[in-house]
Amino acid sequence: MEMFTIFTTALIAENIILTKFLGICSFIGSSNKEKNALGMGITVTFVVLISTIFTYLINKYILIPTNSTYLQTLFFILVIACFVQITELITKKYFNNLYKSLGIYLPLITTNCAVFGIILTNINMNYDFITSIINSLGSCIGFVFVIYVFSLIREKIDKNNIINSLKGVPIALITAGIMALIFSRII
Amino acid sequence: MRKIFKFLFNDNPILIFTLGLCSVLAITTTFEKSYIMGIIILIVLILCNIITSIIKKIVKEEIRIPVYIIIIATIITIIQIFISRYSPNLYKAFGIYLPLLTVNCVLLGSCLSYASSHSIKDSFLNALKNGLGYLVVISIIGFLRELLGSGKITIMNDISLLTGYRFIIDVFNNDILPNKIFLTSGGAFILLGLVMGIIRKLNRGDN
Amino acid sequence: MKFKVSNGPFVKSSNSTSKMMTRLLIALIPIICLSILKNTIIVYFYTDATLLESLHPIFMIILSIITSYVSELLYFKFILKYKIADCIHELSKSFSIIPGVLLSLVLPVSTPLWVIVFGAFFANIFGKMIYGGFGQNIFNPALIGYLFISASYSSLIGSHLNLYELDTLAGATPLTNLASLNYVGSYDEIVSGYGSLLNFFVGSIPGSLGEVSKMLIIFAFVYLTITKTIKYLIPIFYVGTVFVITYVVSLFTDMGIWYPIFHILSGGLLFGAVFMATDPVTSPITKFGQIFHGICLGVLTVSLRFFTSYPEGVMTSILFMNMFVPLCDKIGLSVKNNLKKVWIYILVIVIFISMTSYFIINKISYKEENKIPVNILETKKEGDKTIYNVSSKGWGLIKATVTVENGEIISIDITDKSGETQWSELEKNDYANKAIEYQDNIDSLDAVSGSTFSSDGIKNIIKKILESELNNEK
Repeated sequence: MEMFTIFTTALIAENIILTKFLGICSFIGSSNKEKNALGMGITVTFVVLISTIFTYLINKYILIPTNSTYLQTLFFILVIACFVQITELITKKYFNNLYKSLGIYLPLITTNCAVFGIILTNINMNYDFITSIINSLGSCIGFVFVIYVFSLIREKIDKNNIINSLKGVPIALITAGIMALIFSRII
Repeated sequence: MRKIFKFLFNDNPILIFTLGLCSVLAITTTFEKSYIMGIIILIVLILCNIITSIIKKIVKEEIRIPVYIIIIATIITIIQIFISRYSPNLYKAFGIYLPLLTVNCVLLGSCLSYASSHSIKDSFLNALKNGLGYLVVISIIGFLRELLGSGKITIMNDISLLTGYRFIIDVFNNDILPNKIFLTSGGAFILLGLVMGIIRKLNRGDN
Repeated sequence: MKFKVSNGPFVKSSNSTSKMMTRLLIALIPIICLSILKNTIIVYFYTDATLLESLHPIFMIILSIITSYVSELLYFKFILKYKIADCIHELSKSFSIIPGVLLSLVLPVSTPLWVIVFGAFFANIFGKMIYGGFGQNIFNPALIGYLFISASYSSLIGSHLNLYELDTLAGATPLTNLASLNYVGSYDEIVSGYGSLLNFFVGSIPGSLGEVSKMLIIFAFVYLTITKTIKYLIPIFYVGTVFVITYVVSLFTDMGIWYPIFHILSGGLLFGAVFMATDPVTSPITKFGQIFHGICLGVLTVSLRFFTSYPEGVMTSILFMNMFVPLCDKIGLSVKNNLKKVWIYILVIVIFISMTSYFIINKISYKEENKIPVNILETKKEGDKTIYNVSSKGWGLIKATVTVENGEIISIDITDKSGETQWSELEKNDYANKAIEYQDNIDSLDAVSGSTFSSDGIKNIIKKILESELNNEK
């Protein structure tokens, strides 16, 4: 039952974009088309889940025993960067179709706050293995959900006549703000 | 006056290029946290740009991104240790957003796009411009959010152990303001969108 | 050649739009009149409120409308920089009276006036104008104002009860009462405090300004459907889904048909379904999209009512589903193009409804196990004494009349013990009177051997009555 609470909290109350403000750059950047949004969301989910596993293992078996948790930042970012690079090479070689549709997002994800942020949250809250996975899964689903819904709204807004100074990013931010207020009332 | 305005707000990394918004929205619940974060980013930006500019000839094309990330991560780790030692309150207040600076788009973006192809002096000036612009904007947003959201302005509280000085101004406290909507995440988004819109309008009015 | 892309609906003359808005206002007039009757006239004549206090609801409605127009005028003049003549022309086309009226009708009766001004201002500017004006908003403007007010000033908007109701009723709206009982109880516990279900239907229960008279809202719905003003599929499926889910819940928790009827007739469900969810700009266009939208609204509202601490779920769920309108339209279009796809979506709907019912029943039963199995059927006050009619689970069902004076039980009269096969043992031990002796420390009294269930039944009566007395003291 507690797992369910953590899952739903990561999904709605502590939503990765609307509450924790992670991944805003990709949120604003790739949410203007529905296809982009879905692609970005799926790639992020994939990277986050595998990185969670690796960083958990590294943290538990290497960093904590040697009392070098201050190296967390360095190690984790290297893990993510390496993993993204490897994934890019593998998809380019073996799954060329997949690479063509999703591949452009992979380098962007290295510097995506969302990936790093989810991992840092897991470490800071000292979750064990299963809880980390569930938290990451919930956060990712929340991420995809919000980015997808937002892309649909943005496609609709782009056709309206909004004043020039608010066009593009500012109106997107204000809409995201209203969405965040609604989400905070759900749970 | 207009020149300063132009220096700060033209090509401002936050408002025009919408980079590094994660920290802007999350940290700005008090004024103190905002300006300290701005100062940290300014320092890191200058250091990273200088280092990148120095080693730009040695680094090969393919491994540029990982190398720059390692440089930024190292500097951030040093600052993290520094802050956690001298001001644990501030360290706790920043939470995960301090190590998150490693992947801040402003830092990596300026290293990649500018410092790797310009001289040391130019990189330094660029870092200064971007950093100051970032500092001013994040301070404004933090100021507004704290003023409207909790009716106070905290100039020095969390780092009071370090400086031995505590300075909080209570501005108002009635029914209309403070309005706690500004402290929520939704309020942050809306305020940032409005500020962006206003600055863009002023920029347009200038040109 | 450049094609201009815009959103539907495409055939929309200002003539038909203004007719639609006029009909909406006509439908709202009886509701406003009843609200004024209930909250102004009755309050003025039956309590000692001043004239100014009693007229508060009328001020609320008028101020909300004026603020809507003024905020739009300011926006047109200072942000869009139109000339005054153009401003007036645009104002007449934008029908900002509707969000103004709707906002004031969903707020509690004792909302301060300046809160309404701020709310209406925010609603019009951030809900409608910055998106480009009338017809281009994503969210329902009145609900954006409501969201703003409840996020910023929730402690100030006061109770939903007007001064007259505060004098005569318990103090909570029906839904808050339901939440405090953990969503399950007898007809008496949930409904009778406010009268019968007929009171709910006519509207003599506490609530916000517009939502109470379900009868008038249903009349309005019929009128608006006949004149083809609103999208009637949405309210039908919205209310229908809420009915279905609460009916399933009532089947599994031994409550009667009154439970789903109570859920439909309480809170802002009917008002929101008829006036807010069917807002022409912020609801789907395709037929199946509307059906899907309505069903999702129903599932969401029931989930919010049962799983969160907010007793009312209607406004938030309408706002949430506003975000999904493009998705609902996509679904509707795909069904229109390929009729076989409708089965996938029906499967999704069935899964939603069954999962929600399952989780609700789970949650309720979990709480039920910790409840004392005694139902208080009736409470009568006679001077200093209170007389309770209770039914308690013994071997069968024990019915008794208990008299309480000054917080202490003085007598228990067993009126029905036909289900208790071993009652003679209890009679031999004079168990009922013994239980009264031990009422302060009832658990220390042993059950009569051979008739444990009946003994526990008596003990539980004592426990429940004392608990009820304690709750009444608070």
